[in-house]
Amino acid sequence: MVFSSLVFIFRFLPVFFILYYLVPFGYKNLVLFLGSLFFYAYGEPKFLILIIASIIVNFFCAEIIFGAEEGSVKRKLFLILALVYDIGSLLVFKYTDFILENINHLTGAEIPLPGLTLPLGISFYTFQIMSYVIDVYRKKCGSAHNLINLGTYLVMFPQLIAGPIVVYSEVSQRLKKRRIGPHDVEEGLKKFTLGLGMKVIIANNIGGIWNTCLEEGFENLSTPMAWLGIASFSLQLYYDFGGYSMMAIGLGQMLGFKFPKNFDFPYIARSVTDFWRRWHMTLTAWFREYIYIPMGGNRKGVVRTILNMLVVWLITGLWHGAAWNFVVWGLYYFVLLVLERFLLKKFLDKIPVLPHITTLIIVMCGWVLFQSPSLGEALVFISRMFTLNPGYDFVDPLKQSGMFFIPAILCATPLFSGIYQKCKKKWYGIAVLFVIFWGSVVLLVDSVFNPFLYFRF
Amino acid sequence: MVKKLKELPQKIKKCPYVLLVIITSMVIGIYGVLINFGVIKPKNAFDTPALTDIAVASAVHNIKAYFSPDMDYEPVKFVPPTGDGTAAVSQNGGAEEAKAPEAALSEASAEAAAKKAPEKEDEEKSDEEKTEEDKEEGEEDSEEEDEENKEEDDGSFSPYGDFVSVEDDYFDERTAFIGDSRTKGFVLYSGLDRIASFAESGYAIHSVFKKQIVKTPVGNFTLDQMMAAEPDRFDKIYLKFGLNELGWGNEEIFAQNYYALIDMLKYYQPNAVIYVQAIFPVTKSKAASSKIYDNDRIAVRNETLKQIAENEHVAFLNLNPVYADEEGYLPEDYAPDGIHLKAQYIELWKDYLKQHAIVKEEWKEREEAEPAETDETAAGTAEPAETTGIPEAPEGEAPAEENPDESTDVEGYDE
Repeated sequence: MVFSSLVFIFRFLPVFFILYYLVPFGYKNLVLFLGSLFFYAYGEPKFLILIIASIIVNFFCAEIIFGAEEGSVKRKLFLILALVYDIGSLLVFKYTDFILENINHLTGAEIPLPGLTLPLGISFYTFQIMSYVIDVYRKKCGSAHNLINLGTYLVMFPQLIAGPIVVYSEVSQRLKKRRIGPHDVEEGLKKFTLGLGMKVIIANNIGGIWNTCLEEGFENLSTPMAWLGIASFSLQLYYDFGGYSMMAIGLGQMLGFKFPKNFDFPYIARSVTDFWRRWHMTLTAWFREYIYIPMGGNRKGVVRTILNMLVVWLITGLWHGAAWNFVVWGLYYFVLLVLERFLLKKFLDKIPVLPHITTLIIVMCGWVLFQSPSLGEALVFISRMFTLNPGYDFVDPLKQSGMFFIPAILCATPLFSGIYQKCKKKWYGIAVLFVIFWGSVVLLVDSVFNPFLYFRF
Repeated sequence: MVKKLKELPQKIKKCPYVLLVIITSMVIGIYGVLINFGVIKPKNAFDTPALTDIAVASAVHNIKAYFSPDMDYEPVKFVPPTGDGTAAVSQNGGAEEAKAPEAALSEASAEAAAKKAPEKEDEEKSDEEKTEEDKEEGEEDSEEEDEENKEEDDGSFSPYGDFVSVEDDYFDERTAFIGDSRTKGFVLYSGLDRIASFAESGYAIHSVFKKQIVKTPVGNFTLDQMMAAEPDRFDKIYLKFGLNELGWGNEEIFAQNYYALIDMLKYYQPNAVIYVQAIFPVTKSKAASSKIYDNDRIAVRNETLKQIAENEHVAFLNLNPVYADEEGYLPEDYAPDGIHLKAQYIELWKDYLKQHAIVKEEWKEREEAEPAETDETAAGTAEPAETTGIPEAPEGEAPAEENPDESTDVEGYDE
């Protein structure tokens, strides 16, 4: 089930929330747990076992770690067991084909590729459960002691499939006890509406242009078309993923949880470093907390810092997909971040407007690497951007989707968020939200093209 | 529990937005339920403004059915959309029944009856003297050469005669492509720049009479308006619908709409060869990720399309041989989004069309009778045309006399 679908909004949500709000607190987690399992199974029943197994394995390992003595071998052992299981299952389901392909290439062997389907949300929930086990080990929080609570944490439907990566320690309190007032429900639904509009009204309508570029073939694009194509993809990705995160946060609030922000107007960033403090914030936070800092962060000298960054960005790239263009994408940012950190920082802070523009261009080229069917094609695309290629192929797409560009660009800046905060309780704010909600529903009824780009994770 | 209820009014005041959404959803939900159980009759989504035309077309359709019992063919039940008081034309094939809506629309029907002419060009369009019977027989004689549709091994068939191979210049100004976004891709990347294109993303069978797809400086027009304004403009019409309507799950309504479309086209372009194209499959990954786009549904839809083509005695083109792999899916690299073809694979589609083309005798006659402005090749045989690019007749300075309508610029269509 996808948030931006009629079956979710008008069948699942009403039934779920009626049950959830009626039930006394002691049972709310159970309702949430079962409801989320249903939500997950609706799309892909066969991988339900996997996620339940993950809960069970990690639960028991964490309990043992928690109960074992300080510094005993047992603690380390079970931590390693849990991590091997988690990382292992992620590797197997996501990277087997990639690894085997490369082995075949290198050694000339002909190992057949199993072609396993990727279980829904495995990249997200694996990271979440790892955060739990590691935090229990580090004594940052106690273990759950209650299998249902842990299960609820892991499969909670708002963030299960692509939601913000919520670290256990952030929600452990609320898991045990939370209050849900009318204010939470109200604000949560408003955020959900905003996210829905972002995804359905803007992202779905702007997205067609990149597909047109694919159809035309990158080698045939005119320069304006190339820029239009990547600009529209950049906006689409932001509104798609950002919209989904916004919906997740809103739903989480309606459930009584407070999820962390995942996007902070990334496209107004002043530098690449700044960009990554604003894009997919929970992911970078996770990498910083569980890889970068344990490896020493920036406290072991320049060379070690660079090495740590390299590891983080290689893994970041790979996390996004099991293909070489993602690795290159990760390395692309690694190089830029190192440059910025050690060389360019002073300059960037001083110059007024230019860094914003260059950052945008860098990020857009990054998305070309990210989304192109292959590395070669990505380079072709970038070359079409920076050479003069006349053509009129951009006129039609611009006419069709052009009207969404201005609102999309404006809303990607903090311009309206201040207005939103002030107006969201006034009658006209509510009227606008109402229009966004039903407008999105109408578009969903009519839609033939409703992709979700981060869905393959 | 009671305590909670008492607190409710207070809580309600604090969340107006939630309430607004819940109340409107419930209202719409109740409305939907009432419609579902027939308590309320909705304004039918398939209402078309040109109801009289459709009723006439359906009447004509049923007349044809009535007069073709020896062809062993099932007349199709056509139920015009309700909601305007017109009685539904039930499946009887009875001439009286079929005449009833006609009688109600005397003028239009007379024209319609006269309109069902065989492909004699010199026949007047509004010849009211001919009776319907004559019309039907004349049509049968010249239009249907043999009863059986020639079915090729690849699933395409044509009642007009054998398929022949042609070259790109077959697709001239008298060719129309009507369809959805895949057709649009074809028009964009096939390199055929003389054809008339009525294709748009999201164009669906029920909106052909509503969507103003023809945009001109003097205004926007729907397909039927355009066809009415330029009768006899087209010799070949390629149709491709069915993909956007996969979610309907209702083959009968889809068929009804398609019949209405074909009958309208036959009404205004009586000499045209109409090709119903099947929809080719989606990629395996698209089929796996979508409940609507799966090849079983597509197969069912193609069966319906085949039936429609058979019932209407038009050509049917099965595109599966071109685009389906061994498992029946579109190869992954043909379509990045699973549905829309990449530019370089449009060539295959064009080639298939070129190998399954119909050329009518009277086109050749017409060409010989008047100086040919275009390079229309006489491809009555299976040999490809020898003259490509060199007109056989002296290049006429005169504008194409064969297309008197085209030269008028009252409407100013330049597709």
